[in-house]
Amino acid sequence: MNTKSNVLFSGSPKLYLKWCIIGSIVFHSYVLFGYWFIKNVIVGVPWPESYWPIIATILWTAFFARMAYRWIMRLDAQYGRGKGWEMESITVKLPYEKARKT
Amino acid sequence: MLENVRVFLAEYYIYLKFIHLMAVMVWVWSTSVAYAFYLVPVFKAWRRNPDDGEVIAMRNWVMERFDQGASYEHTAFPIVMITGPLLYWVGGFDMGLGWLSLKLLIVVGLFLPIEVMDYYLSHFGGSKQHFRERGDWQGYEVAIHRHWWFLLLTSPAIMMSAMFVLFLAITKPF
Repeated sequence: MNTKSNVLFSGSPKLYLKWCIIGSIVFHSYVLFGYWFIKNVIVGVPWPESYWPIIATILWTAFFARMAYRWIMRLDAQYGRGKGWEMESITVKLPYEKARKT
Repeated sequence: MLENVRVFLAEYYIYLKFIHLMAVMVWVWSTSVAYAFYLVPVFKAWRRNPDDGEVIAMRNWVMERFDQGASYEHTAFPIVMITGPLLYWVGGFDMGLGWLSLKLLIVVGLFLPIEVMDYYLSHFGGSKQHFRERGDWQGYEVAIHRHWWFLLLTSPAIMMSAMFVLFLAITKPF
């Protein structure tokens, strides 16, 4: 079993932020235009009838990007509970399944 | 012919719905405890201590167990994807329903690509067990990193969207 890591993990706060902003814009644009397409082209009902769905989508997109960034930062132990674990050394046998017959 | 099948299945609509909901529950929740209470703490420890051999050994083990544990989720997902369209067809739904349109957009545009990637990472080319069995430790490390990237980026989106889709399906608000 290999217990050394000779490859550096490429994640960084800057990259996470970039992914969150771009991802949120792309996904919510897809949902907004997809819904517009279904309503106006497939069903044949005019939508939206006011600016509120667009304003709500823009606000939600910004909120989601910020929330996702903070979520990822916590998950990746960049801040939050990641440092709150004790690291007591205990030797155990880790059970691995035997290699499959090919 | 197809209309006869639809009429026949319509009698079993409620049973199809039961299977669909069961599969959705398994898909959404089956990996949640393993993820939140086993995988994530170990990966946080690794990110804080990237050169600690004991942490790396535990990280590798927990990742492989998680790969295998995802088989419940990945058995349920095809059932969801088969019974969902069946319910749509048999139930006589159409895209005029706002909640359904929004739900389907999220399923097709978010859940489907994420699950395809997840199958690859957990059971096919990205499976850590395969790299270990080949003795390819460089590839193993890259595969672990790739999977962690995947989990980091998809966790907020999948959790929020899954809850939203459940909300839409149950309340049918518009």
